[in-house]
Amino acid sequence: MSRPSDDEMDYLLSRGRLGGSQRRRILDTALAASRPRPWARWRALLAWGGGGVALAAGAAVLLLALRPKGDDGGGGFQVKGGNAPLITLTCLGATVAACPPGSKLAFSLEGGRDRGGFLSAYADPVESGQRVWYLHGESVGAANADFAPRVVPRWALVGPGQPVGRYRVHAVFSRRPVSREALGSLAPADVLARMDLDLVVSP
Amino acid sequence: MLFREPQVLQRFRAGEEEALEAVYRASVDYVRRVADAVLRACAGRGARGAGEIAAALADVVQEVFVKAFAPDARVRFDASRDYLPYLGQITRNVAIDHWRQMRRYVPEDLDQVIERMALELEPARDDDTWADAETISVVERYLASLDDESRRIHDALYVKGLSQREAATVLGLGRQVVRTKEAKLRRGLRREIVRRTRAITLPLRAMVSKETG
Repeated sequence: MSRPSDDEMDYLLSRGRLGGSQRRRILDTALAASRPRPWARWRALLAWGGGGVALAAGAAVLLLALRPKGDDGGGGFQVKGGNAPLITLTCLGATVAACPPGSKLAFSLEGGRDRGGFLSAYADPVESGQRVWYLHGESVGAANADFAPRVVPRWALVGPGQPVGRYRVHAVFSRRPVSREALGSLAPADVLARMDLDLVVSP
Repeated sequence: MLFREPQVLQRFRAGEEEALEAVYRASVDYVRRVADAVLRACAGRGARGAGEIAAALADVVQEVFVKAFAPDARVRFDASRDYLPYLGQITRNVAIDHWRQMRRYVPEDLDQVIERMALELEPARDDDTWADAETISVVERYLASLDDESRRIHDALYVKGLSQREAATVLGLGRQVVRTKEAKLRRGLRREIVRRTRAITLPLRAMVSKETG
């Protein structure tokens, strides 16, 4: 039997309803999603080679380490005249700076002018340890005319077996589905966006 | 009608957090009931279905409000309509999508179920079918065994639906105390559930290995 999640326990403890913490978490996430985000400004900054950290209450979004093209054997971060979406990572109910096991990770795409693609994401421990796969080839629809965020429908889970520590999450938004092995060597033309994000799994 | 006052609608559309929070508090139980009803319709009545609903319910409700509160959705909402049926429609779609992702199939008669639900403005009220009888009995036994402080915290968080902060204020405790007790409540119930499952599966396994060995 797999270990029942906190959500399952809350369901039972509240006799089939929602617990107070769940209600608060849902409200915080919905409020974070309700805010118009200044992505155009971020995109402009990024296009000029800047970087940044954006923190939204209740749902932290951390954008880190814009690496120069080609330093990982892949395409690096792609900015094509501001047409590339930003890939964001949210640790629901906590923050990416302290995300405990059992938390759900949500990926979303902000902006962009693409016609949709496939998102894959995995985490490598900064120190040593095994790679953890979060998403592989998740289909994401086309960009909206109004730049509304595109939330990837499938959540990833920080599993109970994932060791505590710092991770670098690598996310690749590709034009076509690709195997895990081929992700690092994708042709630049096939990469719609690539992002490296920091995640800290906390006790 | 959630938006009886035109100013409330205006503030909601403008994304004022106070207005959004008021709409959320007024509608979250309705959304939860619709989501629960759709997931039940998809799952059937089996024990496995109940577990899947337990795991999915909060995700579905969250997804509904993320969609409904997004800036474009707030502006797009036709104020001549009532807001709850509008939220109900979003909930049905989100719950079905969620189920498809989990199980990759939906019951053949789901369209009829949805049509039937569309006719019922109010989804079914809460009843005692939120889990199988055995699980309910484990939960009730566990809750009955709690000490006074744990029981008060359980009541604040899980019966009244207060947040940790609100519960701490009402009970005159520190938030950290409430947080720790909440984790302890989950841990304790999880232990009971796992123990119950082992008690059922171990004799079965022993029987199977005896027969096959």
